[in-house]
Order: sequence, then C-alpha cells, then structure tokens
Amino acid sequence: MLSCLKEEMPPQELTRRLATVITHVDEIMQQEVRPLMAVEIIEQLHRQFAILSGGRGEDGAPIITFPEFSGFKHIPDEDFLNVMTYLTSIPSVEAASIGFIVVIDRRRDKWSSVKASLTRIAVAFPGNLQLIFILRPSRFIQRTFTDIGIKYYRNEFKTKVPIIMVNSVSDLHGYIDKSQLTRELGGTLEYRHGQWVNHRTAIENFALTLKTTAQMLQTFGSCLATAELPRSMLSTEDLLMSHTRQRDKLQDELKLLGKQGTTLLSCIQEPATKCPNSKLNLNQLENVTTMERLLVQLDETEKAFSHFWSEHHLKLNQCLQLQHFEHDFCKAKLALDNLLEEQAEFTGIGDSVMHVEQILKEHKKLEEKSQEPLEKAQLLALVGDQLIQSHHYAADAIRPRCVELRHLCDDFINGNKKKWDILGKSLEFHRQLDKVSQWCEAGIYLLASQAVDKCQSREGVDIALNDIATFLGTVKEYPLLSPKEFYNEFELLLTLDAKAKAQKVLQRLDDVQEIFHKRQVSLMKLAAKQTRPVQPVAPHPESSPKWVSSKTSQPSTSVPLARPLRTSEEPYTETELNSRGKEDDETKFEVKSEEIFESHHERGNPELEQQARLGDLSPRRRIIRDLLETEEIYIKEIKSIIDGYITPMDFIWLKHLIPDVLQNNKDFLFGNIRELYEFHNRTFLKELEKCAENPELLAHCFLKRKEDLQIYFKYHKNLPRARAIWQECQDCAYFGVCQRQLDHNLPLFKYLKGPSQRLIKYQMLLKGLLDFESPEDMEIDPGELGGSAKDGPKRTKDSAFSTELQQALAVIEDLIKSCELAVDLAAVTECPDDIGKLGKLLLHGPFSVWTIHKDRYKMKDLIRFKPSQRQIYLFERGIVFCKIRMEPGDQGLSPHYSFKKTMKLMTLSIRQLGRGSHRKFEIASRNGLEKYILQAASKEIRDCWFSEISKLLMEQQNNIKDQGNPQFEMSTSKGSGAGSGPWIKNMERATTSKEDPASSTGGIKGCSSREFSSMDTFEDCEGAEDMEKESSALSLAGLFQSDDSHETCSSKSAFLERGESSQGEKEERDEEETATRSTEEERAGASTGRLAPAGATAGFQARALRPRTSAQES
Amino acid sequence: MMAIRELKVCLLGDTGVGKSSIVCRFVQDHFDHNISPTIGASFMTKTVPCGNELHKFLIWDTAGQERFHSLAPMYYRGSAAAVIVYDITKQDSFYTLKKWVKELKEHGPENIVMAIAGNKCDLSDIREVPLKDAKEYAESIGAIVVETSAKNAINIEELFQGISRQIPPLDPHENGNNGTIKVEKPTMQASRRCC
Repeated sequence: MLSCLKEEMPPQELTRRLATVITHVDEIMQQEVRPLMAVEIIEQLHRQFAILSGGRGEDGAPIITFPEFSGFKHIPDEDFLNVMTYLTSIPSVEAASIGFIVVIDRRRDKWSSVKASLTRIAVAFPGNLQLIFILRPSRFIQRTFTDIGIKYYRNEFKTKVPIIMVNSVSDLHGYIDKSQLTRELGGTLEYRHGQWVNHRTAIENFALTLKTTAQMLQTFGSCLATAELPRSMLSTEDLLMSHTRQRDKLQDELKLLGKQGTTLLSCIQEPATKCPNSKLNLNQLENVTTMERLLVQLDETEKAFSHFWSEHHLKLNQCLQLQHFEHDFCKAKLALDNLLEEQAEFTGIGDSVMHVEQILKEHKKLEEKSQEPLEKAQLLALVGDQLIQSHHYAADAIRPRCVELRHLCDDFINGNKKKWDILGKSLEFHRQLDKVSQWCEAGIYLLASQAVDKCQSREGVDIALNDIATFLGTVKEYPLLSPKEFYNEFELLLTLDAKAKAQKVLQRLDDVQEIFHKRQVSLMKLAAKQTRPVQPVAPHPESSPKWVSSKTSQPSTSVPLARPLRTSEEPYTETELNSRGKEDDETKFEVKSEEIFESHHERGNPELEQQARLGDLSPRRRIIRDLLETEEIYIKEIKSIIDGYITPMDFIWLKHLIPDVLQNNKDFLFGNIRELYEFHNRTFLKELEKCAENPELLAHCFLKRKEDLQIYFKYHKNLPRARAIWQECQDCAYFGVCQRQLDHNLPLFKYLKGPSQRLIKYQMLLKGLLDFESPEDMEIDPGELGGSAKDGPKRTKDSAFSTELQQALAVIEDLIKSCELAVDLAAVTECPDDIGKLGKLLLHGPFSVWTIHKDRYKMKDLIRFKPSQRQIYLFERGIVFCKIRMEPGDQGLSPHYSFKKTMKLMTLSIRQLGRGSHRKFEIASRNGLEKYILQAASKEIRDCWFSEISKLLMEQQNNIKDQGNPQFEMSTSKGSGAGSGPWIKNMERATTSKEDPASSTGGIKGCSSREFSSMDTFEDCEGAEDMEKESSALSLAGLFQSDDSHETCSSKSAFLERGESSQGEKEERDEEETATRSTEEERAGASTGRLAPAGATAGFQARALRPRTSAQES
Repeated sequence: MMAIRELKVCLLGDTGVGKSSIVCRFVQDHFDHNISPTIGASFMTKTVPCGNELHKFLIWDTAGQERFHSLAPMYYRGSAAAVIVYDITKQDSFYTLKKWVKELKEHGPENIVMAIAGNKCDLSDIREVPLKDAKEYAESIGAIVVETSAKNAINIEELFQGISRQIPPLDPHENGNNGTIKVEKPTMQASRRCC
C-alpha cells in the first residue's frame, strides 16, 4: 500500500509547481541583476546623491538624475556602486537595454565636481549609458574651466558616450520633455523620494515572504511524502490530525500573505484612487505591475498547495477508513466465528423433553446474542461497498472482505434455521415418547390402585374391567402406535441413542399393554370365580408398590392363599387383625427387646378375647396362626422391598436419580434378599401352612430346613457392607421416591433389618410353644399318679414334641448366634479365613487380659501391669482375641475389632484363681509357654465363661477317651453336648415305658448308667491333681450356673417371671421328691431325669438374652 | 564645530499605534491625519544638540504588521536605541510591546537604550493602559517611559532628549562641561508629506 500511495501522491507536482513560483518571483524581482535589497542600502538611498525619478527619454530610456550634492567627492566608492547598481536594476529589461540617460546638475558647483562625477560614472556605472547631460556651473570662470576640461577629458578617456553641455534647464528641455523631468530641473514630474523608498522596501519584503512561504510549503510536501503510512488506526488518526494542524497553519500564512499583498497594492495605487485625474508615473506603474505579478504567483501557490492537500488528505482518510474497516472486519469476523463455533457446539439434539427445551432455550439465547453481530457485519459490508464505489485505492482488498462477511452471515443464519428445524422435531419426538411413558405410568398406577378393590365383589371386578377397557382405549390417541409412520417422520433424528430410547419406550408400551391384558384375563377369571361363596381376602395395598413387575402376577399370588384358609364369615376380622399386627410390627421394629415382650404381652389380650370367642382354638394353634400371619406379612414386606426398591432401579425414568455408588453396589446393599424371598414364599410358608392342622409338624419344619436357613447367615454377613452403602447414599432422591411410592413410614434400611427381627420372632414363638408345653407336664403327673392307661400315649407324644421344639429352638438360636457372629466378624479387620473351622460361636464379650510370664507369676507383680482390653470370642474349638478400637460412626462411637490371635481349646487348660479374684480366671497352654488372666465385667459373666470353657474341655477329653463307646459316639455326633444328654435319657425313659412301667429292671438300668458316669470321674481324679481341680470346678460351675440363672431371671419381664416362678416351684418339688425317694423307689431316677430339661431350658434362656442384647447393640 | 554622533534609532510596536506619526512630528514637526499604514521601511534623519555634541538620529520606521516580524533583526541590528510604542487606548498593543522588549533583550544589541512611548495620550478619556502599569514595567526593565501625543506634539522632543541623555558619552571628561541648553519649540512649517 505504501508504494501505491507513493505513486498516487502529488508531492512531485507540488514541488514542481512551487519551484516554478519561486523562479517567477525571482524573475519578477530581477534577482539576477539586483542582488541587494533597498532596506540594505536604505541609508545611502536616503542621501539622494542619485535618484531614479521615473522619467523616460524620447526613446524610452530611463533617466537617472544626479541632483546638486555637496560632498559628492566624499561618497565612498562602495556606497556609490551599490546605489548605482540598485537604481539601474529597477527598470525592466527592455527599458534598461535602451540605455540610461544621466542628468548631472552642477549649476552651483565647479569644474572639479563635474570632473569627479564624470570620472565616477565612467568607472563604476553598471548599466548601459546612452547619453550624459551636464548642467554647467553658472559662474563664468567655472564655465570656461569646464569647457577646457571637457576637451581634455574627452581626449584623455576617449569615451564613446556623448556628453552634452547645457547652460540652463531651458536648454535641457530642448532634449528631454518637461513632463519627464522633476521640478528641480524645471519639469512637472512629481517625485517623492521617501515614498519611493517605502514602496520599494515593501514590495521587496512581500516578494521575500512569498518565496519563504513557497519554500516552506515545499518542505511540508516533501515531509508528508516521505512519511511512512502508519499501520494502526491510532497512528493514522494522529498523523492525520498532525498534518491537518500543520496544513491549517500554513493555510493561515497564505491567507495573511494575500491580505498583505492586497493592502500593499492599494497603497501603491492610492494616488490614482484619490485623484482620478492624476496619473501614475512609470515608477508607480511598474510597482503595480510587479505586485500584480507577485499576487498571481501567490494564487498559484495557494492552488498548488490546495490541490496537494486535498489529495493527501483523501489518501490519509482512505487509509484511516481502510484501517477502521479492517479493524471492524476483524471484530465482526471474530464475533461471527465465535457464533459459528457456538452453533457448532450444538451437536446434541437432546435425550429428553427437558433436555431439548434446555437446548432450545440456549439456542434462542445464542440467536438473540447473534442479532447485534449480524447487523454490524451486514452494515460493515455496506460500508465496504460504499468504499468500493468511491474508488478507494484498496478496493481490491475490501471487496473479498465484504464477500466473506456476507458468507459468514449466511452460514450462521442458515445453520440456525437448520438447528431450529432439527430441535423442533427432536422436541416433538421426545414429547411423544414422554406421553407414552406417562401413559404407561398411569397404567401401572391404575393397576396398582386396583389391588384393593379387585377381590371385594363382582361389582368391583366389573368396575376394574371397565377402567382397564377405558384406559386401553386412550392408547389410540398417541401417534406412536404407528411405528412406521413414526420412524418416517423422525428418521433423520434417530441416532443410536434415540433409537434405543424409542425402542425401550415401545417395548415398555408393549409390556404395559401385555400386563393390562393379563390383568383383564385374571379379572375375568376372578369374575367367574366370584360366583362361588368363598371370597378371598385382599392383600395389603400399602405393601404393594405402585409399579408392578410384569414377572409377578398379583391375582395368582393371592387366590391360592384365600381359598384354603378363609370363610365368608371371617374376612373382615382377619383383615382387621392383619392390619393391626402389621402396624405393630412396622412401628415397633426399632424398639428394644423389652418392648417386644411388652408388645407380645399386649397382644395376649386380644388373643384371650379371641379365645373366648373361639373356645375350640387351643393355645398351640393360636401361636401357630400368629406364626403364619406374621410369616405372610414378612414375605410381603420383603417383596415390597424387591418390587419397590430393587426392580425400579432398572426403570429408565428413575435412572438419573440413582447415584453411581448405589448403582455400582446395589447387590451389596440388598444382599441375597431375593433368596430369602424365594425360600419363604415358595417353600417355608407352604410347609408352615401344613402345621395349621398338624401343630406337631412345626418343629420339624425348622429342623428340616436347617441348612436352607443358612441363607440368613449369608444375609447377615453382608449386612455391615449394606449399612456402609446405605450411610453413603441414604439421602439420595431415589430412596425418597421409592419410599413415597411404597407409602412406607420408615426408610429402607429399617426394612433391611427385617430378617434379623424375623429370626428373633421365630425364637420367641418357639419359646412360647415350649412354655405352653409345661402345663401339659403338670397335667401328666396326676394322671401318672393315677396309673391311667389312657394318659400313657399322650404323655409320650407330648414329650417327643417338646424335644423337637427344643431342638428347633436350638437351631434358631444357633442360627441367631452365627448371624451375630457374621455381623461381628465382618467388623473385625484382618480376620483369618479359617475362623470357621473353630466351630460355632458360643460366647463373646470384652475382657481385661494380662499376659503372664512364668518366672514372674506373682500377684503383687500382676497388679503393676496394665491389662490389655480385648474382645474375646468363644467358639466350640477355639478362642479368638481381638483388639478393641472405638471409631466415630453414624450413631456416635462404635467398636471396631482387630484380630490378634487364636488359641485352640485342645491346647488349653483352665483354672480358677484364689479368693479375691472372683471376676478372673486363668487359661494357659499345656506347654506352659503362654498364660493369660482374664477379667470379666462381672462375676456372673465370669462364671458363665468358666463353666462353658470347662464343659468344652471335658467334652474334648471325653471324645478322646470314649471313642470306643458307641453310646457316647452317638452323643457327640448329635452336636451340642448340652442338648444331647436329656435327649438320650428321654429315649431310655421312653423305651422303659414301652416295655413295662412297673418293671424294676428299667430302674436298675438307669442306676447303672449313672454309676458309669461316676466311674469316669474317678478315673480322671486318679490321672492328675489338675484334673481333680477341674472336676471340682465343673461341679462348682454347675452350682453357679443355677445361681446365675436365678439372678438373670429376676431381670426378665412379667411374662418371664411367671415362667421362672413356675420353673422354681417345679425344681423345689423335684428336690423334695429326690430327698424322699432317693434310696427307696425306682421313680427317683425318673425325677432326676426330669430335672435336666429344666436346667437346659434355663441355660438356653440365659444364652438367648445375651444375643438379643448384642443384636440390639449392633 | 561640535562633534556629530550618528545614532541609529529604530521604532517598534504594534500596527496603528502611531510610530510613523511620532517620527514625522519629530523630524518634520508635522502630523498627517490621513497617514497610510507603513508597508515597508522608512528612513529619516534629524540632528539635535546634546550638551557639547550634536546627535544625528538615523531613524528607522518599520511596518507594525506581525507578518513582517521576521525582518525585524535587519532593523534593530546595530541600533543605539529603540523606541517601543504602544497605544494607551489598546491593551493588546501593550502586550505586543512586551513581546518586542523580550525580543530585543534576547537578540538585540547588548547595550541598546530602550524607550517606551505610550502614544495618543490626548485620548486619555478612553484609556485602557494605566500610566502606573507602564512605569512599573519600564522600571522593571530599566527603560525610560513617557506618554506622548504625536497629534498634539506632546512629549515628542522630550522622548528623544531622554534617549540622548541615556546614550553613554564618548569622553568621560566632557560630562562636567555639559551646560543647560534650552530647547526651543520648533516652528511649525509646511514640509513635504511623507508616505
């Protein structure tokens, strides 16, 4: 652009034109022949020893007059020459070329003066001399001298200039016209010397100023031409402003100069203007001519400068316009590029109505934001067009920019339109999908809401069928029912995700329709069945989620239950009872075990009332029915968790509510709850139902399913992890939605504890049955005393039932213990995998433990050592030590256990410490390398542990020595030693009864068995002193156990107190009988045999309490 | 015959303040009511007695237009004295006077004598420049100051006499011989008009 600018710039033209002006001024002022200015010789001119009067000879020769001037001889030669040079340079070249006429006035002087004048002129006259007139001195003598001198002068100088001597002015007039002579010479020419000098100096000043100004303009033009074109707008604006200021200043100079020229010209012409009749002399006329010519040059200067400036200004303006245009172009292009980039980011078409609307909203914002940039860009394109039309020097650069701007605008506008179309279709697409989803949800809700009404009456069934038919009719309103049409309309939008979503929705639509049709079929079948008098009882609607899995059919579940159990008279009563029971169970799951007992006691009242109404229902049957009812409720609740929490996790419309931690760990949150449901629903409930008519089979149900019930162990093993997951995401929206759908009052994890509570329920019910079996024994005794043959078979049967109940209770209690162990061991870190080999968990609790070194085993040393706090677990075959560590949890501090070590019972010995250590006992390895003193929290706990460990050690010893005895082998194989003894004795007693109750041989057999046990003990005593001590400890432990049982019973509820009171009386009675018949009657043995079951029962109760407490604590 | 000292005196000042009228009154004792503006340079001489000497004033009258300011050095170069004239009825002319004084001090001869003339004192009823201001300024620059009227021939002679007294004498010994010379008022006589 710089080169282009240079080509078009007119600085050369300006320089050329101004140079011409300068040349013309010099010509006008005849600078070559007049190097001096009047002002420089103004003093010499003022003397008037020579003047240029303005007169002309006949042929136009200029006249220079030398007036009378005394002292002419004293004029310096330099001054003379300067004045003559100046005067001869003023006339025009044409006039000067004719030659000058010199008039020398010496009428009052003498010859010497004439001679001097002629000599000076001859030597120093710079012009061309034509003629010399001399006015001779007036005096006679001087005249004679002059005549003689002239002759001599002519001969001496041999000059060619003619010299005419005249005696008077009248004679001179003969040669020169009077009008060309000043008054001193008798002429009429007006000449004012001062004015003449003034005018000359003024004209010369004007000419000099004009030249100076022209040179200044030349410099300015060159400076502008050499200035490099700026690259930025600010620089260009600054340059334009600077140049404009300089130009304005120079313009003012020119204007001022013009004004001064005009003033000067009017001054020179003043005599003519004042007196029209007077004429200007030749001097004045020449001055006027000179000024007019100078003013012409000034005008040319102004025009040249004006032309230069207009072009330069245009160039700078265009440069500035271009820079503005390019600056705005960059901004507009950047804005448009940003808009196009933002538009390109709208690649998604949305995956839901809300998402599409959000995209549309953002797109609308983008469109609104784009209005201003688009308008600016289009306006800028118009500006560019205008620049092109105005022949801008950069039109070739501007044109493609305009094209680009318009192209970008069109791209964006078209892209926007396309986006709007696509998003509009996407919105319609998702709206239709949402409508279908809502239709499906409404359908599911309708199906769920029908659960309450479907079994009431034929009318209810008909209403339900009508509702279904009406609802199915509404599906025709949705265009999605035509898949082909649907795909044709939205084919372009269907990305893989969109297709997948549409297929899911369509599939769900099909599923819901299928469910509806199945419901219709079921309802129709039910309507047919409604003709029968039997009416099934409706399930609890609050337990059913509003969405139902298509895998489960509600009618198929409830119909089989209703038929065999219900009569037309009972439905409301049973419903009311179930409702009340459910409420109790739901609202009091969180209460402590004491409250559970209270609840059980409270429920006794309605039971008694019901018993009054139903006199034929035995207590046994009432308990079994309670078991069945609670079993059904339990199953429904598990199902509600599965249908209300697990199944919806696959629902698409709820997926966004599920946090990742829940989605990834849902199997651990719910564990094997499905297995529990399937077991109870398909197997256990059916077997329990058979007990409704045959209560004797109840215990068998538990014994038979002993292995299956291990799924509870698996469930509890997972429970700590489930708790952790629950704590992490219990506040998520998904759980809230599910809870509301189920109408549950309690959060999910409360229901996840249901299986734990169910086991305790089993324990309570079984214990209840056993309690009710005790009065049977009391009744048997009088019968037995009577010797009635009828009581024999009944007594035998009841005994067998009690035995099985005890075994079933043991199974449940063992299961509860193992479940508690699973929960507790899950909290133990670094627990070895082979912990299970130690057998069943019997006891566990905190202890203070001292480690004893053999050489320092003294009591006073023991006091100085600080004990370690350990959680100790007692298994059948080992003891596990764990370090206790308290960590913050959701309910304050909670204990965490770290595994430390294991000791096998086979390698241990136990002994009791001396007096003063009633809470302590010692265990040691047989090699004596390890010894520990354990201190319990109380004496009772200590006695219990000591007793258990001693018993376990005895059993292991017996196992080793009696391997050859078939009886004891069979006893060991039965499992718990505590439970096997009474069982064996009962069997013996049963055999005796079958043979002959009065036979003395049976009695002898019993005594023989007891003696055998005594003999074993004696053998142990002979073995070692330690063994003797252990035997003593065992006896003492038994006594303590009884005392402990008594003390423990005092803390039970009223219900249990009655039980204990009954047990106490029985024990006293037995003791009396023993004392009375110890040595006389065979029945004494039978009495002793009956005592054992009571002790076992007490032991079971004691152990049962601890697990519940632990369970509550956990 | 007394010695004649030629003293170059230049008149400076704004246009229209009366520089040419002062010179005309002093040299020719004439006042021209229709005088034209000086458009160039004018030169006049007058010899006046001063003590035992004759002072011949070589008077340079210049155009006041600022455009010709660049030629001023040619005028005041070699001057023995400068008369800077202002018009008491125009404050601006006093400002221009100060500019001339500044230029003389910067570029003029080193020992030039400066005289400030406040002309047109016959128009004191429309005065814009107080005499006090002029006196204070003249004192600050070491110049003589006098208000004049070329029209009424007031203080014109006194102005040039003051300049003569300020001129340093050629011979110190002659100072003691200065006698009092009564200056007679020149007789008004018809003379040739200047430009």
